[in-house]
Amino acid sequence: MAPVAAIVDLMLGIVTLIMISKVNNKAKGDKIAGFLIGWILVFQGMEYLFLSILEFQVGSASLFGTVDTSDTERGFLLTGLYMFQISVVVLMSSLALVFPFRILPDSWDEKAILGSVCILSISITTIHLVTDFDFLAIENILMVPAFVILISLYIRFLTSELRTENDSYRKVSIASGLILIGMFGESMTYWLSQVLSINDEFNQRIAIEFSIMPSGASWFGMMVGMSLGAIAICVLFLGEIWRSYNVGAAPFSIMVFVIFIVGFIAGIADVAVLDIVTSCYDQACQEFPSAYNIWYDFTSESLVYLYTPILFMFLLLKYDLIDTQSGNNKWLIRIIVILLLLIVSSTVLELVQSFLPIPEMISSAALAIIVAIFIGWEEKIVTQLISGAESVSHNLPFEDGRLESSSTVDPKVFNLTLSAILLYILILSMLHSGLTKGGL
Amino acid sequence: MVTDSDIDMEHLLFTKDSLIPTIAAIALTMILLSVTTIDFLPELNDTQVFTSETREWNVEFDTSTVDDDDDGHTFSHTEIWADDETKVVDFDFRELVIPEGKRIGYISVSIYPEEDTGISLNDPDWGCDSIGVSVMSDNSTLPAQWQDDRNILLGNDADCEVIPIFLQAYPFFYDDNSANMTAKNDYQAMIPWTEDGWGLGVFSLQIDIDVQSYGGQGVGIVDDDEEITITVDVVTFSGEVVEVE
Repeated sequence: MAPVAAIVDLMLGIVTLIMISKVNNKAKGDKIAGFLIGWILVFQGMEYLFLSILEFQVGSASLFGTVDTSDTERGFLLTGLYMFQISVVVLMSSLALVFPFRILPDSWDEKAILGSVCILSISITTIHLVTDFDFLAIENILMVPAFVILISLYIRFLTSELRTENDSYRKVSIASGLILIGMFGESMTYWLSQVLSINDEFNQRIAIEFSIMPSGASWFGMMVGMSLGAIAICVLFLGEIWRSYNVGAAPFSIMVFVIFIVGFIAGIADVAVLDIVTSCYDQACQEFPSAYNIWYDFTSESLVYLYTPILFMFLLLKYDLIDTQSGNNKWLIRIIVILLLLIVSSTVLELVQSFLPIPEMISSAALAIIVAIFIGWEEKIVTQLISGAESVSHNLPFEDGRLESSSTVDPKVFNLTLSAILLYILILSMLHSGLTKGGL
Repeated sequence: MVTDSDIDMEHLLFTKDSLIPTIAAIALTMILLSVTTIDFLPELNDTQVFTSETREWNVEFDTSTVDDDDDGHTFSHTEIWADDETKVVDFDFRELVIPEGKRIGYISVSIYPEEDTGISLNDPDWGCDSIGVSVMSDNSTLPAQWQDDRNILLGNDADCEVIPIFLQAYPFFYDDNSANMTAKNDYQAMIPWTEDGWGLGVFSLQIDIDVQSYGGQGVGIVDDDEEITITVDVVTFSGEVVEVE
């Protein structure tokens, strides 16, 4: 799924940046959020692109330490992959500072946010590079402030909605929840395993299977990500249960319930295969049953690769981060929406075909039906998506109007700075792999 | 603390109602993180040792011969061969009752001629029947180390001696006592000694006899057949692994 994710993320990221650069009348926070989401998608796209090439060359084990880094090209790809991965975490962590609301004082304009993103991305990736990525995942600690902000906003606006019965508050709790899912989606599907504290067994298996010397910092970083995801989905689940009881279930509630149930089933599946997981240490590594791998492909992996970009697309459109009403943007949005839905549908069909003996003719027919539905309903889908689009702070009873202050964000500064980080990663990965004959 | 009807920047994240659930959520996160961190520390230590070291192991073997009928051999077969007769004798090892955890290491066969000495007192070998034995690898279905240097797949005798035949079944099971291994854990040290299937199949022997019927002048012995006894010992082994300090 990595190649599909790379295409989707890069395409959506570039289109988002083009569209957001044209907008002038947005609130400052919304515009910065739009830029950040656009660049998150571009960096994520680059990460998946490098991953896809590595997977194509050496198989799925490229995720871990089995890549032959004495080969300059592979050393470059692996270094770049890790560095983009770290930058995505930095960008994601800064997103919560500006969306749904700008948390920082007004004087902290986009230059301060850009400056800190720039310094953090460059310094953390460089530190990881000189330490041979031994402490990879420790950067997850950066997501703790974002988690606290988003969880606080979700609970605060959910309780306010239920107490005052003001629907406007719902936008904020959904936006916070969606970013939480975007940030911790994968770890949310492991929530039960984390609560049962068996994820360290999986870390152990990975370390042994791929002969990676584990570091305490790296494992701690992983545990931070997993714990934040586990508590986030439990809070969202309880919140949505409470809201559904009082107001009724909404599509967002159903999405949360699905992820929660997926995590619950995944936890049971993880317990069931625990003997296989620990076999690497106790005995010799045994293969997981194919049903377990299929389950993982359809849940955690598809959530990360396929649904996260769609989620960001929904945020961009529903919260009017890009100008959805502009005539120039409308056709681009329609193309993007239909293209994304088609790519995701065809990937899901491919996945189904990988384990069900469906003849190609049937799957082609199914894809044709989906295409027909999307083309027929394309206008309706897009119109429905953007008709209720409004800024997250719109109609909210703010004491001061600062949150809706008009944007002074210069697209050039934003794009140039983040392009420079992207270039820095590419050049440094190239140099590192070249100078050290393969890098890591 | 602000009310729900207005939102100011100082109290954007909390209200009176949301403060307790928010603190509870953050506290739960800290507890979960602490518990999982404490839980992974010993695992991390074990994994670091596991990935950094390759330990030495000594596998001590316990060998025994499969002997279902308590006659000291796995199979014991006696048959009479006529002069110039060639016979093929098959032994099916698939029917053997091999104890749990044991595997076939090698097959040792002895072919005993009827006479243990010749007919001449001056030359004890004179007058012994000539026996030729060969293991028919094409006929035999048992998986074994057919190319092993230790194998004795052919035997001839005309001296009234026992003919030995040997077939290595299990790969590298050369030492009946022990083997040194390098592995990450005891299970992996035992992996080379836990392969199933070796030696289970039909073992086919071809024996041809040339009877020495002339007893010599004045002796008057006329011999036109030979009784051959074949004993087959299927030797099994099991291993016990001990770490070398």
